[in-house]
Amino acid sequence: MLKRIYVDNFRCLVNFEWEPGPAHINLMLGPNGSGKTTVFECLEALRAFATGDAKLDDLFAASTLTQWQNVLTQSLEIDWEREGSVYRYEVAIVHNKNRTHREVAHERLSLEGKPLLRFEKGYVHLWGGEISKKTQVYPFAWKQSAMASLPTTALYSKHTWLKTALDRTTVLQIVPPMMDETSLQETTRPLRYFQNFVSWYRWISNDHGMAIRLEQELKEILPGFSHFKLESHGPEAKLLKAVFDHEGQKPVELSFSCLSDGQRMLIALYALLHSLRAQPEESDGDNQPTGLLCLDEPDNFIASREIQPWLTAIEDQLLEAKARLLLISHHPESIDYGLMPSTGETLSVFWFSREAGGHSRVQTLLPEQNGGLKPSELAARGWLGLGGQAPEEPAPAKKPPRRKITKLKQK
Amino acid sequence: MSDSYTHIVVLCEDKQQSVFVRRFLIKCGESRHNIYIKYSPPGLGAGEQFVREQYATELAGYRRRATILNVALVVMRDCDTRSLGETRATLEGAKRRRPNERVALLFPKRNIETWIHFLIDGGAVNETDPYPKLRGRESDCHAAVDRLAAKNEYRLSADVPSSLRAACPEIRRIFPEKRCVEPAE
Repeated sequence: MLKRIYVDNFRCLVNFEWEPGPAHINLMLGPNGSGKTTVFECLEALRAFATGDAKLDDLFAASTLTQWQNVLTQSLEIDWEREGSVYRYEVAIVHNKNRTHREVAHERLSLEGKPLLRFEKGYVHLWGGEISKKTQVYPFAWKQSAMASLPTTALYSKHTWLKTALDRTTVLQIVPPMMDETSLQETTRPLRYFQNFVSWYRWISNDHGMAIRLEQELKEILPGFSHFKLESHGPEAKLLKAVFDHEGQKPVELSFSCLSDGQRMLIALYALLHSLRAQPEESDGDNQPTGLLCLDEPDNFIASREIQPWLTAIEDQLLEAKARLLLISHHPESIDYGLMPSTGETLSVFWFSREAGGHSRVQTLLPEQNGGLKPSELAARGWLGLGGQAPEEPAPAKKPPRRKITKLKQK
Repeated sequence: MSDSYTHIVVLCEDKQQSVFVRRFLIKCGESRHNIYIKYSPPGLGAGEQFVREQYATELAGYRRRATILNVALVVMRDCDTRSLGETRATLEGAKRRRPNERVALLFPKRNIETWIHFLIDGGAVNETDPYPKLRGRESDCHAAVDRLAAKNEYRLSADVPSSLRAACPEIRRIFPEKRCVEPAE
């Protein structure tokens, strides 16, 4: 479970620290440009670096440095809990003066404060895991993750557990118009905008039970929907089609791109939801990390009446899969009904803000601060997160002391 | 009119009640896509006041749509220290539902946790003392709800709290054909 993220010198995040709450869904609110999506970018950059999915130069380009300061070192840290113990993973990237070249300044992994791996000055120091209890030291590349290079074997299970946890982290900002309707090959990892949805669907639909559950769910949402069909499209490519029943006539087959943006969004959201259930089955036991899903405004494109059912469905699914969701949303339905905790409940709603030209801040939102207005109303007015206290009732004015009326003695 | 609704609106006090009722409706065969839940957003004051204030609006909305759609309205409000009759009277006021309307009024006493506790443990509960809330883990009530929704199997024991017994005809009012929550024999 992600416990903490610290980022310094990455876009608008300067000395930024955030501790997500313990709830299955953490809601991230805040005005545009307040840094919510940047937090997701950092998580994705850390994931891709630590798992060896992307190159350092692509993940930490010069444009990711905070523009208003002349600091050339970027620092990212995460704390991840595993059955009461906490892993800390730290990466620092240093850029040259011209910002044309960058390399890893250090990479560190520790468990409960005890070091497991450290890369510094071109050398990796590795503790534990090896047959001999001596620290292993060996030279390593300046532009790669030493953790990513470790084999996922029993020998290094302690070292690579966090790598697996990060590998099960998915960051998505779904943009239906960008989704391709064809796929050349299956893929296990969705791309940021879900351009490769069809390729990912090909992979998840290998679990036939899941594919059937998804189709059953979609029948309730998309009128007339019957099933999906993957059709050969050239020598290797597959074309995804949605088949709709048409009032007793021949079923209509629509290629994925013929569906509306909203329909494609709903399909993607429910596919993600049902794929969560598949994750624990892949796990070897309770020690395996569970998934972390980071969704950036998934309520875009879809009709209002679809939001509450999806939120409640994913809440149930997260509970079952012991997975967690970090959710960025501006939609009143999400803010008011789906996620705001009741008074006294564990708080997992966060407000991101940023002063003009400055860096991002984050604070926990307290429902008691609403002062009688719905949270979405406060958000629409720009008052959410401002806090404030109800003015004190003015004290009742003191009555002037009664004057003693003394009767003048009549002379 | 069939038991499968195109829309069910649930008006309740808080998240715990919403989780309870939603699970129950789904277990009774309703699609989660046809359920709309409205509960008091935090910071808006007491949940019971919210339900009381919104009831007339929701009843009017139900009546308008019931002529063209297959709709139902489920209202839940804790009794707290009030009697069932008192809770119902303060909710309905002059806006009494009509005999044929698919409107269920559920009044757990003392509150929803009393029902959850009874359904999980099966033993006697009292409706005076408050039972601990499941804050942050509201879905833990699912097992309790599943027992309540086990159609034609669940029989109310002699220990059933009076408010839950009173809820049974309310449930049958919206699901007359499904025969869920059979009365004690």
